[in-house]
Parts: sequence; C-alpha cells; structure tokens
Amino acid sequence: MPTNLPNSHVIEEAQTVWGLDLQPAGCPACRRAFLAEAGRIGQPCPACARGHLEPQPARMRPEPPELMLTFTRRPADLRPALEAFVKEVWLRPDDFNADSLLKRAVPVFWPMWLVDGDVAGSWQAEMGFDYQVKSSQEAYRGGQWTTTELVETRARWEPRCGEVRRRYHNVSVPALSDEQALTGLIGAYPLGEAQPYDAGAMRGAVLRVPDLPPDSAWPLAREALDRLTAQDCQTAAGAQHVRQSRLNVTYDSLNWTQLLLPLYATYYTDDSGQAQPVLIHGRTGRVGGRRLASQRKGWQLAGLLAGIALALLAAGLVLAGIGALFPPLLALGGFLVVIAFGAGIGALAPALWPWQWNQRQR
Amino acid sequence: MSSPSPFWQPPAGFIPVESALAGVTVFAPAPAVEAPAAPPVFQCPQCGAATRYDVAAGGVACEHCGYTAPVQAQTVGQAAAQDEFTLEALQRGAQGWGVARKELHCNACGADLALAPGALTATCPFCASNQVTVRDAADDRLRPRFLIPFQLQPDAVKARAREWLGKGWYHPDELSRSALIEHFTGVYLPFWTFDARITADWRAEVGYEHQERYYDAGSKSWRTRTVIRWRWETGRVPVTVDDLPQPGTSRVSARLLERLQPFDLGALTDYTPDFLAGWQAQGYDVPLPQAWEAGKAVMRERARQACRDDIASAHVRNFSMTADFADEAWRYLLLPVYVAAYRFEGKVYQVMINGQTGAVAGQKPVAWWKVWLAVAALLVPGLCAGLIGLPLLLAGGVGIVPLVIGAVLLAVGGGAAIWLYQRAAASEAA
Repeated sequence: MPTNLPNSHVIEEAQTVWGLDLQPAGCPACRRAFLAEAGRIGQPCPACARGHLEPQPARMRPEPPELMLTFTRRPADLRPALEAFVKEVWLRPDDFNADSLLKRAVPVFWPMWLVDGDVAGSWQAEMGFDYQVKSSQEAYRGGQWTTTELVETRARWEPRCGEVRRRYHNVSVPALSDEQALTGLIGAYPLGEAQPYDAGAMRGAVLRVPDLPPDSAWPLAREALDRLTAQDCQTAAGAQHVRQSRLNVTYDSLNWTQLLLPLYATYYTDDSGQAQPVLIHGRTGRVGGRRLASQRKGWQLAGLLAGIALALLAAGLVLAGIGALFPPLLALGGFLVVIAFGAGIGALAPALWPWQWNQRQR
Repeated sequence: MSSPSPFWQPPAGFIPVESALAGVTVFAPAPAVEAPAAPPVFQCPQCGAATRYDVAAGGVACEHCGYTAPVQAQTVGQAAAQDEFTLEALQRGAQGWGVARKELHCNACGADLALAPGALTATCPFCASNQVTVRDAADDRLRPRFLIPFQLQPDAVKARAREWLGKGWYHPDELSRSALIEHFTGVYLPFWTFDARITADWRAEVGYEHQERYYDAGSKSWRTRTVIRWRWETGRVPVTVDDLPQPGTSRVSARLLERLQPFDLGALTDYTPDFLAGWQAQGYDVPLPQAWEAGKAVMRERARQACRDDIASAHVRNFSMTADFADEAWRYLLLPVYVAAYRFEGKVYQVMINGQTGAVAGQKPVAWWKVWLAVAALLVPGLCAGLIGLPLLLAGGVGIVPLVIGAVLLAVGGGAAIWLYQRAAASEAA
C-alpha cells in the first residue's frame, strides 16, 4: 500500500464546506454520515429512512469535489416512473403511492473517488491476435456436391512482455461500502459526462460522506488501476484478447478527489409502519427499492371472500334442503354451493400473493 | 519502441516490437530465422570438390576424398507442424527456399526443377528431352518445411528397374534385355498433406425388408413375399482424415504417383538444404487452394462412404448429407522419388521409384500382337463350341449341350479378354 495516501479530517460542527454552509450529520439507525443544510436535521435518513438525521462529527476530505454529475430529472418529471414502479404491486400498502414518494423525495449526492496516479513497472501476458481461416461445409443432394465457404475467426496466443510508464487520471473508485448495491438498484452513471464541481448545483441537497476513506478504498483503486494498465498493455500490443496477465508495477503520485453523483431518496411505510427506502436515479429516472405488498390487505380481502363463500354455502345448503320438497330450488342450491366453493378457493389468492411477492422482494 | 530500462530486461529470445501506445513497450519472441544469410556452399572442406547428400552415409559426403558430415536435421515424423488454412496462407506467395536457387526449365514438357548452385543437367527426367535451360527460380512460392530423405541408394535403383521391366509377358522381349534406362534422377517431388475433422450428418429414406404372406388368387394358395418398408432416418458420423497426400506437381502422372504410395511419414525430417546437395527438387506447380480442393473431394467422398456404412440397410433412397469441415490443416513436403524417362520405338515412357520404400511404378510399352493373340485364344473355345452346337441343334440332335458350354466359355473368355486388355492399356498409359 502506498504510504502517501491522504488523510481525512474530522468536521465537528456546521461550517462552510465546499462553498456551502453544511452541518455534519449522521443516522443512528444505519450509521451513515451526511453533510446537510441545517434545516435537514431531524428529517428521515435518505439512505435507510428508518432513523432521523442527527448532528454528529463527520470524517472527510476537506478539498471540494473535482467533478459532479448534475440532476437532469426534476422532481416533477419523476411521477410517470414512480407510478409505473408502484402500479406493478397489486395489494400495496396505503402509503405506497406515487404522491407520497414524490412528496418525500430528497435530492442526494453520493461520492466516488477519482484517483490520479503514475504507474511504472513491467508486465507480461499472453496476447490473443485474431486471424481468419477458411473452412467449408459440403452438402450432398441429388448426386451433386455443393460447397459453402465459411470464414472463421480464431485467436493465436503469443507471449508478450514489456515495461509500462503511464499516468492515469480520474480513475473512479467506490467511496461508499454500499456502492454496488446502489448501482445495482438504480443503474450506472455516465461518468464521462461529469462536469467540474459547482456549489450552486448542490443547494438543498444532502451529501453522503465517504465511508471508505482512501486507505480502505486503496485495494479497489489498485484493482481498477491494474485493470486499466492491463488494458493499455493489450492496446499497445495490438491484441484483441488477453489472458494470464501479470503486472509488476508500482503506483506513485496518487491524487484523490471526489466525484458526486445525483439521486433522489424517498420512502414509504409498510404494513408494520417500517420505512422502506426508494431511490431514483438523478439522470435516468430509474427507480429502485423494495416494493412490499400489504399482507394485511391480503388478509382483509381473503376474509371478505371467505365470508361471502360461507354465506353462499349456507344459502346453498338451505336451498338444497328446501329443494327436497320443492325440486326446482335444489338446482339453485347446488349452483350456490359451487359458487361458494369458487369464492373459497379465490380467497386463497389474496392471502398467499402478498407473501409470495414479498418473498421475491427480499 | 524504446530500449528497456536498466531495472528490467526482457526474457532471452524476446525482441522489441512496435507499440501502439505511448508509455508502454512491447517485447515479443524473436521469429525463427527462415533464410540463411548466404546460400550454402556444397563444397568439401578438405579437398574443395563438390559434395552431395549420400544415402548410405546419411549425410553430406565427398566422393573424391571420402569426407562425410551428418546433416543437422531432426526427424519429426507425423508430429511435424501443420498450418491452418488462414486467408494469409492461401493468399501469400512464398518466403523462398532458404537457398538462392537456379531452376532447370524443360522447354519440351514445361517442368521446373530446383537445382543446387552449380549443378547442371542436360536431360529432363520427366520427358527425356535435352531441351533444357537453367534460369533463376521465382521466389514467390511457399517454402517446404519437411521432407523424407532418400533411403534407397542410387545403385539399387537400376537393378529394381530392370527387374520391373522384365515382369509381364505381354511386353516386348527387348525390354528386359536392353539397357533402356541408363540414368535415374533422384528428385524431391512436392506433396501437400491435409488433415481435417469432418462431422457428417446424413438423411435418407432407408428400406427394411419384411416377409409378408399374401393370397395368390392364381394358385389359390397363401404365399410369402419380401416387401421393403421405407422410413426416414438421420444420423451423424464423425470422420477424421489424417495426412491425406496430394501431389503438388502436375508434371508427373498422378496415377503413377498414386501407385508409388504410401510413403512412411514417420520419417519426416526438418527441411534443410543439405538434403538437396547433389539432388534435384521440384517446386510445386499445383498451388495450395487447388490441391486442397482435390483433397477435399477425396475427404467428402470418404465422409459419404462413412455415412452409407452407417446405414444398417442396403436399401437407401433420397440420400442427402452435409459435411462440416473443422480443424483443417496442411503441410508442404518434399518426398523422394527416382524418376527416369526412356524412349522405345520413338515413344517416351516414364518410370518412377519410391526413394523411401523402393516401390516401382511406370509405363511399359505393350506388344499388342501378344495381347490380341491371347484375346483370340480366350475367345476361340467358346466360339468353336458354339459352331459345333448350332448345326447339331438345327439338326434336332443334342446341340443344346455344346451350345450352352460354348456360351459359358465365351462369357468367361470375354471377361478375361476385357480384363487383359485393360491391364495392358493401363500399363502403357500415363
């Protein structure tokens, strides 16, 4: 590990950070740290929605971020995506609707590290070079042969080695331990469209503070830099494929800055009154989060259907009894009994569906 | 490209190659040197006389002072490297032979023979013409990478040829008595060998015989007859073809070359010009794509036969199949053949001896009067029996017996006569 990794500073109280007046805060439920305007203190945590933001010191890099992606979706634009997100759930909790989600949407910026560094050392790998061979398929029909010529692409593997001395700029590295979960929920960001940091575009937003400081993120950074170096060696060799790549390199002159990425955080409360976070991509509008169905509503509907079934069954049996004296009622009684059985079986659906749906969501 | 830093050195045998990216150097294994810087001199280091590859010594030898030196080449056998049918290989010309070559060109038959520097000959081994000129060989052909060295000594060749010429009663008697073939030329002839793995899928209507009973209204009885029930069937047969040889020369009769085979490819040796010292070699004039087409035709027929063999019945109709070729590979080889041409009664005949196994194949003149006499002798008994039987039959006697015997003798004699004629014609044909 390089010895010159930058240290983080501790911010104890509200102060001007990165051109904004921000208060360090944290969520006692999920223990994630944020920087937010003072007015956000006491509001639900944008990450887990189960705790409320409380003032607390935050450990972070003091320099302003280098790049950021701004929001291209306004809250008003999110309604269609949220309605589509909600509509797929049949028996949903009362609070799980587009209006509630939209009302609680909070703009959030989450960080990634941008690492610059010099790489120097040697490399060796087996490089695959594509070449084409001519093959053929012969068909015999009616006493005649016909030939179809085929051109196949194959790879010829050859050893290559050499030295590498390059500088890499803005290699993106996770700064949050839940970065994979975040991008898994709402998708990747077009990092190539990042612009220089602008404090004006941050107003009103909550900032996630990195929970992977440079010393913790270094293995990930090293992996990303190694991958880039191996790609460059492949490019230099003019190869189309690479395998058994080995690098013996050192990284120097490392510079760590931040890239901020936009999302909206909102939540709804489920049957048990527990908040369920929902995240919305700030560029694409893709919505992600657990969509829980309401088991309570399921039981209610199932109970209603079961009650109707019982009533129909009773009526059917009574009519069948009378039918012994007045045969035309026997047929009606039988019909009601059949309907009652249908309703009884139908009552199983709302009872079981929420459970099955929620299992899938978990 | 840049030189490596003092802290890192490339592995032995690696050389710098062009890098497509600044800041990254690339080293690759040095390619094998294909051609020596200067043409080898086949000259005795002791006395300065010309040397030649000596079969008995298994090396380059000087006939003048007895100096011998083994040839530095490895026997690789059938493990000899093969090449794929890359577009590049099919399109490119050659890298030369590794020797600055002269070529002997026959103005009569058009044959080209590679000659070691300084070697000259006045007679074309393929057509016995003396209209030959020496010219620079074109350097646009693939280079042979393997060959089978001559194993049959030149001294043994004439005796074998004489023995072969004396065989067969329907050739002129002078053939065995005269010394028609004075000079055999040891020539390395070009051959391609091909490998392929074929997946053959066939589809056909296959008929199976069944016995069924039926009522014959004519005889008013139940009888049994054989009927064929047809059904569609499919199958898949893997066929592997290994080292299928195809001649790389059109100057020599393909039929004679086929009769010379097989060569034992287990004796394949890395090509080195020393094997050509004092010998001749012919470059290919059947290019790779053309030879491959011919080889492929043989392979697909083998695949077709394998599919037919896969069908469990002799009754097949609407047969169709596809043959998917995979892992196709080729080699370019030089194989040792002694070649001679001789004139007999104004006609030129070709004789070849396998320089590895000693098998002989060639054309021999036919004394056609002997053949016609034999044909007559074969047909006469049948005709005579027929001539005797016919009047007896007309006279109402027992003529049917000699007539039948005559017909049988005529059929047998006719068959034997045709076989004899075909053999005689084939013996003369190129």
